[in-house]
Amino acid sequence: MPQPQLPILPTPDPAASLLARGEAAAALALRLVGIGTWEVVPDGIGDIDAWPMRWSMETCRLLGFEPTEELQSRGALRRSIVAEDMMARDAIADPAWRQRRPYTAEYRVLRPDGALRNIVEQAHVFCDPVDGTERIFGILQDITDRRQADQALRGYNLLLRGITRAQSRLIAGRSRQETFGELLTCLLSYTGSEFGFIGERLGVFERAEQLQLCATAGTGWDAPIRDYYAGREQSRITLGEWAGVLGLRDGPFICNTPDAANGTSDLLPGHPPVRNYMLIPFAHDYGARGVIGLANAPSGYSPRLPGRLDAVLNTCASLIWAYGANERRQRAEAELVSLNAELEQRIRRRTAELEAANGELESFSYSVSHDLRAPLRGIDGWSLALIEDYGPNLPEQAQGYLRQVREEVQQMGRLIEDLLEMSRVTRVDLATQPVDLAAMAAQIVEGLCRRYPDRDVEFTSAADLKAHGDPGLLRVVLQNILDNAWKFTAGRSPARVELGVRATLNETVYFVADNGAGFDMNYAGKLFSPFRRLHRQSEFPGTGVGLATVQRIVRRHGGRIWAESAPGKGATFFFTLASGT
Amino acid sequence: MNTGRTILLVEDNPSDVELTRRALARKQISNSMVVANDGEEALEMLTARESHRRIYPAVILLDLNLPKVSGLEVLRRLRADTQTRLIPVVVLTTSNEERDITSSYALGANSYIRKSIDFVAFADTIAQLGRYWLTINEPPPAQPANGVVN
Repeated sequence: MPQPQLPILPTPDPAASLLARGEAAAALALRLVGIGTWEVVPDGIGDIDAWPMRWSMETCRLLGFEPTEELQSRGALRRSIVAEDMMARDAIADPAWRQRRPYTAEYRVLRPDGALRNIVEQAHVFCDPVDGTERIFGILQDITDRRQADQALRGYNLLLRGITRAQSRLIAGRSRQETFGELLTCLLSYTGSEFGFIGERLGVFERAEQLQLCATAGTGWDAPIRDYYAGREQSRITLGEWAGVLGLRDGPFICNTPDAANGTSDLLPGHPPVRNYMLIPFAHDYGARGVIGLANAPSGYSPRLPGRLDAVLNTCASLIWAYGANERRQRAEAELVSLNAELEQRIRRRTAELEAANGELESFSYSVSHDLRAPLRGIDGWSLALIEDYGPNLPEQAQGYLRQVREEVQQMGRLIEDLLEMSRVTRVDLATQPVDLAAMAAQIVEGLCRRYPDRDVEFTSAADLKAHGDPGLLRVVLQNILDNAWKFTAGRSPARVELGVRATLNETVYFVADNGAGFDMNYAGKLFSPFRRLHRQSEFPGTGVGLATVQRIVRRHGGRIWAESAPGKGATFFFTLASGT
Repeated sequence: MNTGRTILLVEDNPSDVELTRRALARKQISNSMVVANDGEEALEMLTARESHRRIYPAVILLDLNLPKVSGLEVLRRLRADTQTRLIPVVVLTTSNEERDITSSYALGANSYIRKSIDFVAFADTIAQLGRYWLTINEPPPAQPANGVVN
């Protein structure tokens, strides 16, 4: 607030009496605080307005009169008072004057220069100590600044309340319309406007500024108009439709001329005419932009008004950004949901396909098991029949061929068995439980010794090999690996096979080592592929399916299998089961 | 060694039929074998209304993979029929699928035997079966058809 210029005052005469100097100081003090004094000597008769009234210089100045003017009367004071405030003032002052009571009244005065001031008048009665006459002594104080400050404060409170309410709406997840509606109501009330809108500027399309209305409100609107604008709140409009203005510039635009204001608008029939309006654009740092439009304030729009609305404008911009962000987030969430649904759909489809494929595999295995083996039995049976019935007539070589046919049949039978076993291990459900691999291996070795009684194999095993897995499948693993060890150590003396375990930092590695024929590590990659054999059938018979089956079982247990070897140096097969087992 | 009792072989593969017959012949029990080439034919022979066309075998050797009516279905219908429910049924098949074995026993099969590819082993099995069911086992007495006394 600018510092008021101190009035130039007559310098107190240093030669004056103490009393005179005191009076001058008191006058100066009153002048400094802007208090005028007056005095009335009631004559007890006649019109109270005609009672003589003496104004101080400051009183004259407060009311805007030259101190010299001979207007000093109660009537002159009353003529200064704004007509609307007069009755209220008289209702307090007149009875008090008559009853000689003190009073306080507040009113506005219109000074001859046209300025409107807020004045508080206070008076009380006292008896002149010198002559004993009764007097009424009063003061007038200009409280315009205080009243203006009060009003500004009330205005700010109103705006702050609006901002707070709008923000709580946002936080509570209410609609854009409801949130901006709070702010717009508050703005209408603050500016005394009859109607207005808040909109988000979407940019210029086809040479027209596009606006999405966030809220509309009008105190003078009837239901159809209200519904019309409420109905537009979801859709985009061009600015001309509502205000028909020149287009938005960067700063506020104010039109206080009724003709111009009405001419630029494109209102619904029956809409109250626009007498004046104000458009204030606002923008957010992150790019959200919008505009507030207000119309029909009782005394037009002050160019200072937009500045006072700063907090509201910032709030509007933040809210528009926040709603935009919310909507973007909701869109992203919706996309995520639909993406998830699509994924689930895809998974369901894939699962169905897999199930169908599994079903086919199963029926394939079944067919292999049944249909492929039946003819083999036929071939074997009829070859045997040929030998039995016509053996004596067949040359020795023909009989040899037939024996060969029967051997091939048995080999093919084994192949089919192994293949079925491999497909079975991938299909059966795992029933995991604690398993002692050492005990299991001992049983298998017992079987091997019975099967190959002429073999002499030194088998050593760790005492206690705890594992966790499906016992049936793990038996297949050990059976295959130990079979191999037995097979490939044929011809070794002594033949040695060892089952053991190595615990590393994060897993347990089981191994079966032998001192057999071994293999070339260059072909290690083929070891676990079905039908891949690293040795000639004549050297070591086999179907080439066993290790493929073993690998499938190990993988189903979440483990790995690998082998290390060199030709003639024996082989070691390592495998792990799922970590933690 | 024909005891006058019969074996009913339900088998659609002619080669298997002949090999089975051959296996039995080697043990001199082939005359007592009757063949049904599919499930439907087997059911007709076992449940014919005219008693002279109906047979009551000492044992049925039943293949599972049969055209028209499957082996398991034949077994189910035999066990549901008072006339046939007591006839011993030996499932004789190439399949070693666990579910086939389970289903067979669940439906009341008396035995489940997997045919070996090795004909010598197969012939031995058939011979043992013939001997057991025709000469050792005491068969159930024939049951009246649906409660009607013939």
